[in-house]
Amino acid sequence: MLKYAIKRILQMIPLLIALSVIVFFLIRWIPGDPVSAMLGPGVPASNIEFERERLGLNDPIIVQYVRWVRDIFQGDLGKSIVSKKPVVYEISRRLPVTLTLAVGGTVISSVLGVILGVIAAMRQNRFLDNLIMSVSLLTVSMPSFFFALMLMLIFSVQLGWLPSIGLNSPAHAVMPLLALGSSGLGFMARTTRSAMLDVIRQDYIRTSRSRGIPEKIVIYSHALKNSMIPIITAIGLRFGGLLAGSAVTETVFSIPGMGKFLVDSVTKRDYPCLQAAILVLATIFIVVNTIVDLIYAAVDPRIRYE
Amino acid sequence: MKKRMLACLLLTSVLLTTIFTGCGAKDGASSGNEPAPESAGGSGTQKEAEEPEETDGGGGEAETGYRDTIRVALNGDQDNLDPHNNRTNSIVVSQIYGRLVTRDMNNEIVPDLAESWEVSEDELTWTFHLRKGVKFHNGQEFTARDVKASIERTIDKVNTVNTTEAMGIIDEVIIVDDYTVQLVTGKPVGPFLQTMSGNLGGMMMCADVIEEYGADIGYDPETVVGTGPYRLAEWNKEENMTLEANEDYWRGTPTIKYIEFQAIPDDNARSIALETDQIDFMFRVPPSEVSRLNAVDGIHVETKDSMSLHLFLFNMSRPILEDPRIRQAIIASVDMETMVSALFGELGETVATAPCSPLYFGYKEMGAQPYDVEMAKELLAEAGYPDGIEISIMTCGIYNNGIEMAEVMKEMMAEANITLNIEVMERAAFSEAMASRNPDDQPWDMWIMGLGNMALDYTELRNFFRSTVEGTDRPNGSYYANDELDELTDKALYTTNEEVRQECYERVAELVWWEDPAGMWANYRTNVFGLNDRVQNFEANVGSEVNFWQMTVLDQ
Repeated sequence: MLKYAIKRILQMIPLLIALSVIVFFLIRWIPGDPVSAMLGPGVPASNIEFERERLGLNDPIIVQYVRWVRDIFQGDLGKSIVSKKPVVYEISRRLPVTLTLAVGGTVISSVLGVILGVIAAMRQNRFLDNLIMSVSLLTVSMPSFFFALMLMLIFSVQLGWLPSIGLNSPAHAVMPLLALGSSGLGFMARTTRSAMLDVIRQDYIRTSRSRGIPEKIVIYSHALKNSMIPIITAIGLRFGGLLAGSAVTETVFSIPGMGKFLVDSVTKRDYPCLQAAILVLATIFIVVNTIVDLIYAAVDPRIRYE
Repeated sequence: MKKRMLACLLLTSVLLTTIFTGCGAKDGASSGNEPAPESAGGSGTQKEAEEPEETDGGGGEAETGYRDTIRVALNGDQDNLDPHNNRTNSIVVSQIYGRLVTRDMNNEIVPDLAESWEVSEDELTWTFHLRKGVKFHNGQEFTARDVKASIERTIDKVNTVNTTEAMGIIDEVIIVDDYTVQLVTGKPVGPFLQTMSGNLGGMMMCADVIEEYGADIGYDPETVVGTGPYRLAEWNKEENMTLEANEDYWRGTPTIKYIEFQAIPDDNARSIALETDQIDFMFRVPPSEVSRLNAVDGIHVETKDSMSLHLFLFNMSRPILEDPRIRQAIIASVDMETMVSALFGELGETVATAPCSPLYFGYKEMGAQPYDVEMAKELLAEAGYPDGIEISIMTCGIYNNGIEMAEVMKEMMAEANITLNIEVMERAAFSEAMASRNPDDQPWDMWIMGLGNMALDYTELRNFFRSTVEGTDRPNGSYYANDELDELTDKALYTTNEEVRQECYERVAELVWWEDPAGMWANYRTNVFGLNDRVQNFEANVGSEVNFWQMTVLDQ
């Protein structure tokens, strides 16, 4: 197990190197230039040249890449072209917000999704199953910004219960978490349902039932545990999706998180911020998925990594 | 096994709790704290919580019945607060910095940091007598030395700033004494005061701050030092910004002590925030929300004149547009009046009837550019294209309805056998293409543009359409070239005779409007604000510069 864990962690290194190369060059490939994006239209070419030179954007791209990697190893992610503040500062004030939302959203969608998925599997093809599957289809297909606006209209405008702007108190977090949680809810419920249905038909479940073991124990202790592999995989992916993919929700609720930061950095071609943000998020994503892999062994003793 | 799962769960919940409480704890101390809607009816002075010494003041406010904070939503954050390099707008920097002369809320040029001024007989030397006893936010007194440092920063040809081109009319700054300063121009400049009042380059900074921070000005509070009614207290970029009243403001101490700016980019979210009392004041109400917000109790929408208009420039580097008849045909194929009233009617915006807004010096009503589909077809046939033409247009969503306008035009142009191909660019790519001044990077026949400058002078057309930019051999943005226009706009810039200037500009307008058309003019814009009814005494000038220092927020 330990050996496997070390192996997986070592595997992350080439992955991150490849990622850094792709990120760096792909970003520079997009049309647009940070300096003219910052200075706007109608600026004398000499100003743009001067600023590009100052930022080192005129150096050969390989030189820029080597400089960037060298600085990373010295703990320096550079300075934002837009805000002139260290990238580390820009990320450090957004990452906790995004982690809170991503963890919260993942927990909501996983807990509710698994419960609903189990219920649906138990009542297969009956009314409750159809209802749950319809609702989950709705949450999967409804655009998150639309759902967020609906929440705002109901809870802020009509009922006046919740604030809709920013993330300064637990009350502020309710709607963003609901919006983020709901989008994964349907996916989780469907994954759980199909995993459960696969397991329920197997012999050992029938045997357990015939031995007179209470239904609750059969379902939650025997069947659910053996359905956990696809569910855990889905949770890991869901978390990764929420890390960078909540830009729309963040924008609607004016929450300064990583998703909005990424989009802003792309719009302004703020290369240092963009590169660092992608690298940080990708690292978290890879770590989380490595952990997920390790959890497999914990929930299913049949899985061994020797 | 069960134990392990349990431990996992426990760990996760501990982690979650830590994160949540961590966030909560931080909030208590953060300044951008917003009360929940239901509690907003209370004192509304969130500052009291974090600054106990203000409690007494808070009690006093309850007696006077005014809140000490106004919560303001912007549609986007500022790029920086260095007035000479700011490209966002003057909404925030106008609260922080002062000018020698400025535009008041009726758009008249009035004294600001200069009490009076006179121009020499040869019209080359402008002498400004400075107001005495004006203090910068750092406590230093404002003197001629600061004027010299500020203006020399803007006209420095080596370390240029964004406003260098406009301020280039000044050659030299001479300090006569602490409170008298002379600005010398190479030639007499007609719109001199207009430029000083309407350009961010005219904003006065502290000489010592310029010396100490140079290019780093504009981000941290210690580098943002002006003489205006408010000083920068805190700024979390892309999040919120707090301005604090300048007690020593020379016009008087503002009633509103804190302005809390919040960037809420989503149009709907901004409107909902106003509706639910999470903000008191919002900039840029979207067209679709005007009538809805007006119908809500306790809030209303106010529309003010703007200096700007939208137009679509012809790219004169394209061979097909060389013949003015082709350009005239394109113009005549679009029913601009109908389009503008459909897309901008809610905002009270109307079709442009001259190349610049009626507020500009040089204005003459021309009526909308002609619309006549039959004429358009004939003009095309005369120019050798009886079967029609195919042209391209580039537009960008940063302009209000920028994409919708192009879509409507496509439909209308089809009637006159003009096929319009639309290309939508996103912000950064748009900026890069527009900055390049290289026809190879601009492969479109037309593109969208905003035209507007607080100088409110037709010399703006010189900036747009003079064939080369003075001092460089750089072409103008759309490669437009007309010798008569070059001559007339130069003549009008370098004379102070208003009759001559007006005459020149009327002729320039005829040229770019139809004779040798430079673009398709769309709509005069308006500035639309959303306010809670508690907000009193609101005024704004054409540049969306709001008189926060005179405003009050009733505590009710």
